[in-house]
Amino acid sequence: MMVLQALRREPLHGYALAQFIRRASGDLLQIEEGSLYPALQRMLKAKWVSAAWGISGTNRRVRIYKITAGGRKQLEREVSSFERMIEGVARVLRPSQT
Amino acid sequence: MKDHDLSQEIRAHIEEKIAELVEAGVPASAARAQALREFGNPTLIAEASREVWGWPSLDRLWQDVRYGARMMRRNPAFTAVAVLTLALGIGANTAIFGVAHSVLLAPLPYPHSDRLVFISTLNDQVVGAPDYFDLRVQAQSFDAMAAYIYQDSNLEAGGDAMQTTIASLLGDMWALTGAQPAVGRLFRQGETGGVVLAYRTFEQRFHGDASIIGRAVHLDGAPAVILGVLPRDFQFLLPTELSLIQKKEIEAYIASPFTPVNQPHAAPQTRSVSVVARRKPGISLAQAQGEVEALMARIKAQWGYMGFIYSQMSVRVVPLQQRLVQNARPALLVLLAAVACVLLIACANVANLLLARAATRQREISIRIALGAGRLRVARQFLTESLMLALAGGAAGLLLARWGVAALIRLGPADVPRLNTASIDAWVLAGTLGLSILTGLLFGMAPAISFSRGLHDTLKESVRTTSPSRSAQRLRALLAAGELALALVLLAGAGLMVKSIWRMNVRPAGFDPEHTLVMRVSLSGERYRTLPQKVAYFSTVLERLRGAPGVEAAGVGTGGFMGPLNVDEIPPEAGAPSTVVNIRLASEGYLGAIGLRLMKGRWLSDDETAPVAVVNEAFVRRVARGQDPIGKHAFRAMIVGVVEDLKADKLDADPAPEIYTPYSKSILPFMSMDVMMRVSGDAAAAASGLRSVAAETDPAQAIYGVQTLDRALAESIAPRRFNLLLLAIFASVAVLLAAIGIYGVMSYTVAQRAQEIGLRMALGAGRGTVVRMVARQGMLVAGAGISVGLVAALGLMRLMASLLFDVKPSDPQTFAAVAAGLAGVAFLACWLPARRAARVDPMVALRHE
Repeated sequence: MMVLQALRREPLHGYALAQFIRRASGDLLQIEEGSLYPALQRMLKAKWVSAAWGISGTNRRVRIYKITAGGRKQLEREVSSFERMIEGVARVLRPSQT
Repeated sequence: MKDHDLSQEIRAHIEEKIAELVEAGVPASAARAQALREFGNPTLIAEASREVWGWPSLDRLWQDVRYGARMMRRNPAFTAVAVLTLALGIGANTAIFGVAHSVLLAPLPYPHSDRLVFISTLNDQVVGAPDYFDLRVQAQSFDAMAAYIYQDSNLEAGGDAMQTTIASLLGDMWALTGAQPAVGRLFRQGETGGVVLAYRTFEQRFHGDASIIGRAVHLDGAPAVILGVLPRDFQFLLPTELSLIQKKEIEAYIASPFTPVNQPHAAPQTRSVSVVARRKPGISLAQAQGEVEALMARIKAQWGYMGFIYSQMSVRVVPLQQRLVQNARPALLVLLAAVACVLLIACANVANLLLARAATRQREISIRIALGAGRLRVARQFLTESLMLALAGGAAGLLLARWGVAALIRLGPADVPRLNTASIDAWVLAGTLGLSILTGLLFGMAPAISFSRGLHDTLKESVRTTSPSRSAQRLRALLAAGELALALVLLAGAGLMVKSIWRMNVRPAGFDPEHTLVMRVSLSGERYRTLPQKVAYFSTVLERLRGAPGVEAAGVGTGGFMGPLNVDEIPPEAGAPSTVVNIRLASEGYLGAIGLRLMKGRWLSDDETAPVAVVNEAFVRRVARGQDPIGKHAFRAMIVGVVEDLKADKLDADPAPEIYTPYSKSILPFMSMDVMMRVSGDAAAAASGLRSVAAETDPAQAIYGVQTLDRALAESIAPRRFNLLLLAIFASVAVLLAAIGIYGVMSYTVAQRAQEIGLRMALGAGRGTVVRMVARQGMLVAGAGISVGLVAALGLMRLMASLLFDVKPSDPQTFAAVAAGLAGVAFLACWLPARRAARVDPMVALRHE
């Protein structure tokens, strides 16, 4: 979900994507950067993102990922279900807070 | 392309990271390390990414298969033993299943075969011919009904007489069987004087020459015409009770001369026929049975004077297919169970082999797990290897089965219907495939399970102590015990059948079938219409035979008649039906020729003046109710003697009550007689002499089946001997496999305990002590298996009761012998490794430390 969220703002290449996610999660998520790639491949297969070769800011030949229409729809679905989940958690928490 | 993209992309990622880290002031070498650390394992990630696009499970399966194939190649001996064991198990199962499938399950090759029924009112076999005519007209439950009898006739074509097995047909037989002529035409109902040939007869006797259609022939002396030929694939699959010396295959068909006019209810000598019919759609078996019962009750009320016949009446309407296989079915089911046992034993054996090998592969597996293979992945690897073994075994088994089915067809007894159509078809193939997979799962489970426990420690241990866990060892002992139990069940079955056959062959003193020749002579033609003419013929033959060298006694006799009889002076118990008695016609010399012993009174002579009869002991027991029958009357004759019981027809039948009357005064019509001759010396050599004497007397009369009584009797139990042969083969395979199983377990144990044994011997244990210790351990396993097997066999053998003769399914002698025999084999299998253990050199064993 995070990947799609990031790509909605702008097309990114793999390394930039990893940096973005790290910063966005406030270095909280200690995941291996590499695990991004199987996830990207899955999304490519599901046609949520598309990829094209391009040149990075540091002048390297990289693959740049772009979100597709299908990806946007998927993101909306996931966001709403995620929000519902958060909402549910909040409701469950509320009584104990009061 | 994709692979290349991916690795390039990953490389770019890492380089970018390094560049960034270097910019931030990290030294180049440290930067690379950190970048890689944070990225993770590039190869694994690349692999995981690629898997997204592929069929990962299929990929892994292919990997497992390749790995398995490598393992199989590396251990050719192991592979060969495992595949061979499985091939034996699967092959035997496939062959028996193939036979059972075509005999028991495949529908009969007739239209609407599911609606065909077999109707009987007497003895579960026949219907009186007059009753058949009534049923055919009156019964509403059927849309077709037909009747048939088998007969041996003398078919003479172009001066060449040959005994021919003929089906004489009544009613809609062609419609019922859907038969169409291959050549010529079929006869119409009641069109006597026409002969239709079976294809094989047409081919072999008439060389497939279509010009024989319309040719005049003689059938039992009466003129007839060949009308047509049935197609090659037409099979006349109708129930028949084979009697002594009878051919198996129908060679020609004629329309029966029976009509309601010549087979009236009122006549004392009407014939019986076998009846088949086709139920109308929507009519159930019960409805059909009900209608036939009602009609027969009406016939019985109307023709009550024939009450003694109808007192035996029991109406049965059963599906034709069921009736056809009723004799073969129990045997086939027992054989199926037996081969299943063999397969289970084979599975246990291969499981044992795999377990033993798994122990040696423990380090390899531990390393794989340490390198990141999932537990599930390892279990799957094992299952894949097992399945590969099983499929290889299945493929080899299929070859064995093809050969096995061919052998079964060749050796099988003639009374198994449709045995010759048995083949390995798609159904059987599917069955074999399923069986192979099931087998693979079954024996692959053991090592897979044994690895799901206690693996972590293996790596830590030194090479020396890689011994299998105690649980694996227990599992192996359990498997070996199970094999022995199954083997015992099979052995018990085979043992009971051996004893049955042995009991059948117990014969009274004086009966010497090896030196008794039997020949059936069938009289036909104008010259033998009357009784004196027939008697004259046989008298001449007998006189000539008695004069021949080496002949000690000669006589004629015939069976084939039966009826419910009473001793006039001894009425049956109130309400009890009369007992059915075999009526035999015999000559004066018959007693001596067949070796029958006279117990009381006298035998028959060829020139009796008053009607007399001789009965056997079974007759005294069951009809005369134990009283002395001499001087009393039965069958309109005075009983003058009692002879012992003799199993002269079928070995596997209890002696039936019999009454003998002089053939020279016979009130029953007979066309054929069995000529019996007791010879001294070589019986086979005398056979040709017998044939020529009969031929000299009248060359036009067909003589057939000259053989020793011994051979004829042996043929009567051919199906049982065949079952025994198969069961014995399966039991020996089972015992062999089980012995290998327990031998394997014990050898392995001894190898594992070599050090311990060495230590014991170093501390002063004698060789005898060591042998005893190891053997005791093995025999404990064997004892457990044999005990369980005994209990199981006691329970299961009751299912075999119908295959046994004069032996109780729980025969203690057989069970004791079988258990002792198996224990002996098991002991040998334990003793060999035990002796090897005792030869362990303590120094060598200890130096291994």
